[in-house]
Amino acid sequence: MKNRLKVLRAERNWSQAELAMQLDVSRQAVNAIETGKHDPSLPLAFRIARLFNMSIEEIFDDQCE
Amino acid sequence: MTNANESLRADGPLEEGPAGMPAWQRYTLIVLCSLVAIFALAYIAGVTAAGIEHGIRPRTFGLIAAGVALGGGAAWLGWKLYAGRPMELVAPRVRKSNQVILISGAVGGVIGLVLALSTVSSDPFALFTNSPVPPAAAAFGIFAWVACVPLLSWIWLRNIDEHEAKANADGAIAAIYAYLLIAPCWWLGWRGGFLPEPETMITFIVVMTVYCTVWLWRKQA
Repeated sequence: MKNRLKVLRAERNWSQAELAMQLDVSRQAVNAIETGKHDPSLPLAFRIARLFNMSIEEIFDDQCE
Repeated sequence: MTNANESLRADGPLEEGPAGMPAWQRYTLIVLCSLVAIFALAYIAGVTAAGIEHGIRPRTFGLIAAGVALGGGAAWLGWKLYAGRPMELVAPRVRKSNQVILISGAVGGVIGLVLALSTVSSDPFALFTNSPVPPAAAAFGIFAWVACVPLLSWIWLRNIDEHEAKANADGAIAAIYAYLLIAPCWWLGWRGGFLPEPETMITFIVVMTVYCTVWLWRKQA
């Protein structure tokens, strides 16, 4: 699943480790989500959306592969 | 946008810090150093036992000194690698799961140490063979294993994040299929007369190697 996580994180000048800290996951998890190798669960997707003050659909796109 | 680009560049999939080696490489080396240190202890115990049995000669002191140098060097290198790891922001649950892995390694090290020091054998490699061990040492190893593995695994599983849980599940599936293939084939091959008798610990080590390889690969992917 494609997502805008990397761009949103970069806009805030956060490192992967800083974002991982805020989401209470490992840096590897953030990297896997950003590169599309891991699709987050619904609870984690909600945590990400709340952190960036956006909706899940604004961050994740399930239409294109 | 310059800052954003710099931030993106700073995060490679396997990069731990600006000048640090990848985390998997550092921790693999630490585990290898620990194994060499335990092996050296077993070697020293074996050489000492052989010396007592057959008489201590100047050569015995040389062999013991070599063992001390090897074990001490490995322990020193392992400690330097551990102490020199870059400090990275880590989420509380990740720190806890990492601590559980370190405690597991320490428990394994203590079991190995007890077995190495209690195995009175002139064979320096006795720890890694099927040679008998004292009943008390065997009972200690069994108790420590049975008491610690389920408890530490439960704490670890409760603290890992979903990405690590997926990597763990992938590793476990690969491991169970490795066991499914190895155990019956080796057993049938032995009964057919063209393979040696099945060795439980070799099967265990192969299965755990498959598990760890897939787990670490999926975790870093």
